[in-house]
Amino acid sequence: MKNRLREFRFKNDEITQESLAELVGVSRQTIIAIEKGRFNPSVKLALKIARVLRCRAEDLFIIEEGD
Amino acid sequence: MLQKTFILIFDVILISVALTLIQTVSPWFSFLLTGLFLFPILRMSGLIRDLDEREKAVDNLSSNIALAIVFLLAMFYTGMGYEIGTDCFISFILIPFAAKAIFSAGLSLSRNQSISIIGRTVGLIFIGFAVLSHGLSVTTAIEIIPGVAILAATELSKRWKYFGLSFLAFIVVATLVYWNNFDRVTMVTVYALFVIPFSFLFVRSFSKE
Repeated sequence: MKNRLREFRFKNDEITQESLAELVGVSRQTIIAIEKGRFNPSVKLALKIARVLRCRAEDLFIIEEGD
Repeated sequence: MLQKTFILIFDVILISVALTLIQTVSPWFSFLLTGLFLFPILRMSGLIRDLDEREKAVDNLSSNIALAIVFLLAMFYTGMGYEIGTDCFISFILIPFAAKAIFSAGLSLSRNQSISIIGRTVGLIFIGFAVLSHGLSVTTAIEIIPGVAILAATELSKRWKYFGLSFLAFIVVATLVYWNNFDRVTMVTVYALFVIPFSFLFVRSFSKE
């Protein structure tokens, strides 16, 4: 699964990983892992992140062929 | 509700088994209780924050790794024909306990944080043992050298990854020292308690964030 977390962070006043983590209630390491594609968040967390970044979850996370 | 009831029943069985083992086999089994319930109690009481979903996944993974290590130990002990005694029980508690803690902390924290926590803990344990064994003496001054070396390697490898090679050197030294002493379970336990954190520190110091 691809994600555009980094892009949307920068579109939202360059919100830091630390701030985003705090706003959605996870650790900064979790945001880093999601951003690097090492961890796929649950629907709940994906929706929380999308709400903070003012976008739709499907714009943020893109399912790839073969996923 | 049903899930909570099952967890409660499971916990009660675990506590009963652990208490029985503490009384009948060895007080070392108190670590079993500590390992299982310390962090959940700290989280419930709000002293430490709850795990997020990735940290829970890492926690599960580290438990599986610890379980795999127990299987490997059992195979090794059987293969070596060791007598099953208190030492074996202690190793079956201490080694997975340490492995679980190391992998759980190491995989959920950042590179620098995990190196700091694991390296400093191991170094301070070395120094603590030396001080508690000999008090303030020349022997202590000599025996704290490995602990100080571990602390130095920890701090340096956070900044420069190639200092992580020193952990590999520690593994080689420990292997050379213990190679001919694997006839006793205690030696295997001590060796594993050296090698598991050093291996992790070595790998982690070369990994990226």
